[in-house]
Amino acid sequence: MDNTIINESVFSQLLLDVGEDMLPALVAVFNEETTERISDLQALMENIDNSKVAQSCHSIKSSAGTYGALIVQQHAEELEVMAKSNSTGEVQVKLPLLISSLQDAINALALRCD
Amino acid sequence: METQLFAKQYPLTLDSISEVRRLLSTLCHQLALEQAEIDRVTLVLAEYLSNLYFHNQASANWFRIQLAGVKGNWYFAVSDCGDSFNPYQMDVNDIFNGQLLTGGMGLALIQKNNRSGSYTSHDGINKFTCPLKEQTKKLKVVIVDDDRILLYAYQSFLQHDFVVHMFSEAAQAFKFIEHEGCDLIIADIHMPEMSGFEFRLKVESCDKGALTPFVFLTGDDDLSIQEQAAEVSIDGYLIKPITKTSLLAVCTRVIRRTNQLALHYQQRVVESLSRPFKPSLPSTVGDWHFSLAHTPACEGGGDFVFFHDYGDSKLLILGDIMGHGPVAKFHSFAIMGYLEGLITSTSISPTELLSGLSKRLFLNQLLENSMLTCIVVKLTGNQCEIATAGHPQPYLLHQEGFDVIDCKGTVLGLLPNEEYSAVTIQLGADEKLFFYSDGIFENIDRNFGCIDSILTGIKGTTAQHILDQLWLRFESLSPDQLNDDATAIVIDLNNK
Repeated sequence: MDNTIINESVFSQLLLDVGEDMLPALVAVFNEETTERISDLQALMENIDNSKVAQSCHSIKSSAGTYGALIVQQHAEELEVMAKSNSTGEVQVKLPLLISSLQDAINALALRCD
Repeated sequence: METQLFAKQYPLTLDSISEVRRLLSTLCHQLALEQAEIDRVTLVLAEYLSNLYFHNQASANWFRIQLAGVKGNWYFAVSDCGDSFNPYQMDVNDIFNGQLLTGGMGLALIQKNNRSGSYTSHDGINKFTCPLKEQTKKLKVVIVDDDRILLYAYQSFLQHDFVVHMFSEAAQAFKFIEHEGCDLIIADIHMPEMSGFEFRLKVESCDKGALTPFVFLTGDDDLSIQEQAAEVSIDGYLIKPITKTSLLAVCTRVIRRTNQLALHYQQRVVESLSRPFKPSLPSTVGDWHFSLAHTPACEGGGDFVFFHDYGDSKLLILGDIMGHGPVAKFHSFAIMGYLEGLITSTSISPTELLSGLSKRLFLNQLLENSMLTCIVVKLTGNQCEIATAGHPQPYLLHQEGFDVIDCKGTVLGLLPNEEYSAVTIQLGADEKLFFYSDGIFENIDRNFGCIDSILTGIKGTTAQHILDQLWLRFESLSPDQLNDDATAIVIDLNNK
C-alpha cells in the first residue's frame, strides 16, 4: 500500500479534473467536514457504538479515496468491517489510528493548497 | 429574405409599452427561448421604450415594433420619430455618477443587456435593434449524497457540461424533482432518513421523475447491495470513489441511451400519425397545376397543407407549427380540424380565414408554447389572392428570374382581433407562384444565405420541372436527417 498521506497520482488527477481554481474550495469543504468527523469519532472513543462507527467509516472511505487520502481510506475500510462484525476490541485499537490519519490528511491537503 | 412575425405601430403611451412588452414575451415563449433570454429582451425593450416615453415624448408620439429575422436568428426592432438619442454613445460610467442615472434612463442596462444591438437614425426615423439569442440548453442533473465532501467534488466534475443541483437529503431532492424535473438523477444508496432505494421508488412514482434516467453511486461494494440494486429499475451503478472521466462517461452514456429510446418511440408515434396526413396536393385542378415537395424532419415536424376546391375558386394553405415531434404533429392536426370548421360552402377570403383562425387560437391558447405561421392562397380565374401570418413571403418566378411578393402579417393567435391584408397578383403565362415553409432555413447552412440563393438560375417550363430542380438543390445542401419539416409548393396556370 502507498504510505504517503496523500497519493500523488490520485491528487494530480483530482487537480486536473476540477482545475486549480476550484481545488482550494474543495479542500476547504474536505477540511471542514473532516474536522467535524474527527470530533464525532473522538466522542465515540469514550463510548463505542459499532453502528455509528460503521456508518461514519462508510462515508469517510469514499471521500478519502476521492482526495487521494489512501491511508485514511484503508483504515476506514478495515474499521467498517470490524464495527459491522461488532469486534469492539479491535475497533478500540483501530479508531485512534483513523483519527490520527484524518488529521494528517487535513494538514497535508492544506499544505498542498498553500 | 427575412420573415416578419409581428409588426405594429402604437401611440407612445404607458399602456402601449406594457402591451408590447407582453406581446414580446409571448412571442419569445412561442419561439422556445430560455426564460433568462426572455427576461433580458423584455427588460431591454421596457428600458428603451420608457426612455422614449419619459425623455423624448415631446417629439415622439408613436413607435413601431417589429419581430423578424430567419429561423434561429430573430431580432426585435423599435422605430420612432423622436430626437435621435443613441444609447450606445453614452458613457454609462459617467451616467452612473451623474444626472442621467437619477433621471432613470437605464442606459447601462441597455448597453449591458444588448451588447450586439444597434441604433441608427435615417430621415428622422430612429431604429433600435435587439437580436434574440437561442441558447443551447444545458441538461439538469440532480445529485443526492449525504456526504458534502463528495457532493462538492461531483459538482466540480460535472458543472462544465451540466446544470448541477446538489442535495444532501433525499427528501429535499425529491421535492425538487417533483416540481422542476431534471434530465438525470445520481443518488447514493446508504443515506440516513431515506435510503437510495426508497428514494428511487418515490422518484419512480412521480410524473416528472418516472422516466428520468437514474444512477446509483455508492460506496457499498458488497454483493447483497448490488443484488438489491439489480432488483430496482436503474440505468447505472457506480462504486465510489469515482473519477471525473468515469462519472462524465456514465452520465453521457445514460442520457444518450434514454434520448435514443425516447426518439425511437417518438418516431413510431409520428410515423403512424403522419401516414394519413402527409402533405399532398392534386397535380391539376381545372387550369391550375400544383407541385409539392415535402421532406419530414427525423423527429416529425409540424408542416401541413390544406386544399379546398369551391369550384370557381380554390383555397390552398401551407402552415408551419414551430417545434418537432408528436406535439407539433398533434398541433398541426388540430389546426387542420379548425380549418375544416372554418371552410363552409361559401367561399372565404384568405384574410377572413387568417383572422378567424387567429381569433380561435388566441381564445383557446392551443399554441401557448408554440407558434403557427401560415400562408393562404386563393385562386380565382388567373388571380392569386395571398395573405400570410408570420410566414416567409412568397415569390413570383418568371423568365427573367424571381421577385418577392410583399405580403406580411402577424403570427397567428398573438392578438385578440388581428386583421390581415392580402395581395392579389395575376399569374401570367410563364409565371409561377412559389412558397415554402422555413424548415428550409433550419436545415441548410445559415451561411448559405437565403432562399434567393436556392432560386437563382432555376428555370423551367412546368411547375413540376421548377420544383424538381429546386428540391435537388435544397437536398444537396441539407444534412441526411432534417431537423425540421421542409415543404415547397410551385403553382402555375394553363392559360395559353
